[in-house]
Amino acid sequence: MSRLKPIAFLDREAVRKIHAAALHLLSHTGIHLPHREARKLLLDAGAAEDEEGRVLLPVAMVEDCIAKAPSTIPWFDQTGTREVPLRINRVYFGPGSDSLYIVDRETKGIRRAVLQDVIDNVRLVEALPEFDFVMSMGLPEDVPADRIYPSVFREMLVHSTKPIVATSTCLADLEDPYRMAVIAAGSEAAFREKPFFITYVEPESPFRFEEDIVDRIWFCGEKGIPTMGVTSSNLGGGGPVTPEGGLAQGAAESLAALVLLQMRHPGAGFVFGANTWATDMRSSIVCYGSPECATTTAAYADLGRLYDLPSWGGAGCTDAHRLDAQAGEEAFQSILIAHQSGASIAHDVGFLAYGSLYDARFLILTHEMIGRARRMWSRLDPSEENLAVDVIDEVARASIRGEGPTIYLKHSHTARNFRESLYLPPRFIERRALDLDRATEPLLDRLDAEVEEILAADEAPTLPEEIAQRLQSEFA
Amino acid sequence: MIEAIKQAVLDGDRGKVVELTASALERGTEPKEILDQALTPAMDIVGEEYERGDRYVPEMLISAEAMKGAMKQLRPLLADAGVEPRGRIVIGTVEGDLHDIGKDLVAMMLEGAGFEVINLGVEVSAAAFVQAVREHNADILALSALLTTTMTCMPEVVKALTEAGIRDQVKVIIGGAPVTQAYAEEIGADGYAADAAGAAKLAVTLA
Repeated sequence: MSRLKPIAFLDREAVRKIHAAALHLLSHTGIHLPHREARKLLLDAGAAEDEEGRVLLPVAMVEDCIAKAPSTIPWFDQTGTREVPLRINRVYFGPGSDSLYIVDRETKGIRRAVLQDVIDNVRLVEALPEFDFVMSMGLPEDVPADRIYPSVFREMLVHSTKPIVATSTCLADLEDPYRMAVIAAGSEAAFREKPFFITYVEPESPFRFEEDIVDRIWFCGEKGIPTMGVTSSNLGGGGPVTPEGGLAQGAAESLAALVLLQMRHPGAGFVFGANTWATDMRSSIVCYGSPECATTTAAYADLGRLYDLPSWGGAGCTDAHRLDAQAGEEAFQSILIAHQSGASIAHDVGFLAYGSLYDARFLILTHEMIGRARRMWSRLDPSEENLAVDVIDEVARASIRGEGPTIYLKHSHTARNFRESLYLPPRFIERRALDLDRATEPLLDRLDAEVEEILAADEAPTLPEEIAQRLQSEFA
Repeated sequence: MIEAIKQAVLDGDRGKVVELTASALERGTEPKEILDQALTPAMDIVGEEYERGDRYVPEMLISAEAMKGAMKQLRPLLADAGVEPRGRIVIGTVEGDLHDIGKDLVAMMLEGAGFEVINLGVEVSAAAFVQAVREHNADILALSALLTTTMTCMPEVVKALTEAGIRDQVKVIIGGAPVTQAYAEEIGADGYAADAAGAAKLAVTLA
């Protein structure tokens, strides 16, 4: 089945007005930009400075930078053989990154994540085909703080072949990952030709672009690592509570990062968007399971279509503390919306407890949700075979005559087409007839079995042994 | 008039609270009566409604702001009349941490509960906490942290109080997103509260 056209969430007027508001914010509110070289670059190019030292970006500069940024960013799997082009209307799903906690696979209690948990989760994502990219899914407690990001990146290289979205807190967190990527790719030129990781850089809302943010964005531009400037302009927290205002701020902040990148490295790959999810008005958490996570992902896709840039979003995550009905409800709402929206990247799949917790079983379940959403919301093909009018005629007549394929189940058309026509869920999804005498194994136990089966299997090497060993020893 | 002030606090109408408080004082209402009959009961209701889920954080903030408008007028008058607060609380966000919304909300709820609150702001060092506790003869020290990387400063503060020889003179309470009751016990704090309303209740029991 082929993809359906994305569904717009914002109408044209809303897209236009949010874009106009974003441009207004950039030219009137401007950005806090202490980075001297960046200030000089922008001011020399026509940006202005107000009495508070904020750098005001003129509309022409912003629009010129939007035009310079590529609509399609080459992105590959780590082997360089599978292209995963980043563009709007092509939706990729993947997990999230810096999770403090994990549900222990044996005790089922919640504890701090360690590096082995990162390895296990990466192996699971590697084995699950609907996940298009990998992220670290853990902030390991047993790794020194200044080695966390290189360590989790190393494990994503060693235990997965999928494209990577890498996070960082400072430039130093990116330098070793880049060196490792070059070793894995073979050379800087090879990596630049087929980049397999992109970086998530998060300026602070509202409009704070500290020195290190600029350093990271420029490092990525210099090395050919596609990047982004995804702020957490969450509604009522980092951004205004109204979604329209939150989107205007998030869009403006993302465009400011785009300008910083394009003015220094024209044509560098950039993913547009922000995390503009809801802030809970009782607990103040950022709500990963909020409908606003889903709808603003869709809205940034609408803006991405305006700019012809790939867009960033979130899906498949929840604020529930455990894998329960709330977790299922919240994860599926955003997965379906993200799929329908055409957002380029839907990350954070599988996160529980507003991005604090991973449970391997939820990776299995959300993976199923992605497959389900992709299958259910895809184009129907009214071919002759599929319209099946001859088959219908045959069964209608046979059911009266009492001979031949009297029901569709018996017809060869069903045998020929059922795999393409129907969603076939994995075995842990209950589809059996109700039997009051049969004890039903709880869903969590079924998911457990899936996790253990994957992790018990031999792991196929993802890198030549000498490279894997070199990464483990040089970047311990 | 007292009821009107109380309702204006509940409504989060700072302008009205300021106007009514000034008017009440002009008419000879005792400052302590305004505090005890209007402000404190209003903030108690705010806390109860928040705990029930009927009142949200933005609504708590505007009620607390409204109450502050009254307290600005009452504070000097209460001091002149020798009216003692319920207790003195030093509050701050620990070193390396810039988060202040939760801490400021706690400070407002504590003021509403009748405490004198000395708010040291954010990124407060252990030494600064110790000095403030000494200087203000604080009954309670309230520490806030929002990050797992900064909550580790809390035991440093407890240690600094011990080294300064004043640990037994002050109750230490802690709060913030990564903080738990278990952590409070682990570091030798005297109490933990999950939210601002809880913090005010806890402070009342400890004072």
